[in-house]
Amino acid sequence: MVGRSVLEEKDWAALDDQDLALALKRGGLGARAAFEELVRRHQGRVYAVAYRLTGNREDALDVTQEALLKAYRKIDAWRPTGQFVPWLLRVTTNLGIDHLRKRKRRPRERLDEAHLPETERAAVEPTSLDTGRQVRALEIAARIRTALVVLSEKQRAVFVLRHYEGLPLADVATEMGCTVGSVKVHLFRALKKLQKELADLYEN
Amino acid sequence: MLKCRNVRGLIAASLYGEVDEREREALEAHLSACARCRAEHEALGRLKAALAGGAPELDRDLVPVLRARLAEETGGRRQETGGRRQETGGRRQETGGRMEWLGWRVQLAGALCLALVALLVYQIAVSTDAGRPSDTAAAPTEAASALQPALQQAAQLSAGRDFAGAYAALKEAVEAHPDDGLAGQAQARLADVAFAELHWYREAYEDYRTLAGRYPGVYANSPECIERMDLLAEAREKDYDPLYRLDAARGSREEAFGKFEGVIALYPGTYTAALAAEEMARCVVREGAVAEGAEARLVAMGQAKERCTHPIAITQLQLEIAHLHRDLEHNGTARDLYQEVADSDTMVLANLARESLAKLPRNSAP
Repeated sequence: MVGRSVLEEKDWAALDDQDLALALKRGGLGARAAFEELVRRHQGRVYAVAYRLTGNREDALDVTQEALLKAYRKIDAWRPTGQFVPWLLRVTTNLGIDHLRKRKRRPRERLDEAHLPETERAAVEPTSLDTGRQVRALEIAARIRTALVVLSEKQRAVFVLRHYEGLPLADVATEMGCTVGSVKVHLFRALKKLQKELADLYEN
Repeated sequence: MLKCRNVRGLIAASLYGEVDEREREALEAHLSACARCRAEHEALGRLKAALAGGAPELDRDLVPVLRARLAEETGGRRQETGGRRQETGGRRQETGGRMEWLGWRVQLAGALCLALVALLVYQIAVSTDAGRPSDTAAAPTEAASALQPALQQAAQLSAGRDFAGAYAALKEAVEAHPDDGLAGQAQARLADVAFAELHWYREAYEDYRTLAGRYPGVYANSPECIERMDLLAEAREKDYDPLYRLDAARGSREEAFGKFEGVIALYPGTYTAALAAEEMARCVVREGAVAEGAEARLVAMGQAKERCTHPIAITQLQLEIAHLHRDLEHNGTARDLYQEVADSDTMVLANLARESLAKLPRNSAP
């Protein structure tokens, strides 16, 4: 059957990510349905990346939506020689970092407790029984988000995709258009910078 | 033995279990001899462990939200470009090219051919309320809805293929109870029946318009409705003639190919023409001439083009083939084909080809 995604009855759920992304990129009949199937499959993963970068549900939801819409609008920028999901996650990472930068430029919002996002407020006012561990996890998460801004774009992309998303380094390399060797070096440098930024947190 | 600076990448990779046997041995040899790198390896290992941490799960489905946002955008874009439409006269130039518009087009081929499946879904939706979401947050339950009997009656009539009867029943019921919690769903269904079953395009256009105006939530949540509306709005300018011709071509088994060609020749560069081109490729597929996959789709479209006799249809299929090459990143071939279309006499197609050429990456492999 030719052009299944366009010409025939479509079982979108049966197609793999790459076929769906191609249908979206092709922009033909059903591009929209292909997009929706991709959203259904990967919204949770996109949200997880967004959450780790922004640290609260509200901002994570905003970043998730923007990332998915950007993937729809800018699908022309995705090259089918690479995998779709790493590309999508990289779009998400970049938007999440932009979001962090904007937040950083509004320091009052971060300092004013009344405006702190839910999770960060929880770190200030622990209420659950498991508070010690929770507070520490939240503190670390908040510190990591701050530290991520220090990384270069490539270091951050490599770190988030490998560390949080578990993408094999070879896939990260394909996505970033560089060699696996240079991806390893970016990862090393990212870890070194994070080590410097966070030494007081984990060495004690 | 490796130098310290050559070991760094391996240290990072090893923390994530991404070294092969040879690399692992080289790394171990270095670490056993170099205390500084060994300490580095251990420290980064502790860092990595400290950085572990999960994220909460997404507790909602974002598909409806994104659908509504995209629908809003195209609504706005349509208004913005209303003025340009008159200037250019070309359907697709209005919004800056084929890719953008095609993304919104109805999956018409599937929709029409699967009328019976739709009917089944329709019946299930009526009986389970699994259909489109209601516009009101506190929608009455089915039992409490005044529209429920009409929906059931319409389902029965549709099952007996009395679509006109089903349409009338739904229309009457929605007009009697426009604020009922199920009114939006009933309105969407009657528009669907008019479009897909009865092929009453004029009525369908008005019914979808009513749906969009009175029940925007239901409308925005249904890509089919939005896409059908786009298609109908375009065909309306020609008094729905393109759609009637497409129907006629679909209905004529023997001469279908030639009739699709005729539709393209009359309405090049429109949604309907692109649908007709897809149908022509489908004709080739039905004959079992080609296999599955993106490349095969190219072959089918190529064979369809070979069989065309009308110059405009040939150019339209040439454009479709160029798009397929572009999608497969055969940019050199795509460029040549676009150029041929750009040099053709069919203005609307030539313009579309120029737009696509402008968007093609410059430093592309052949």
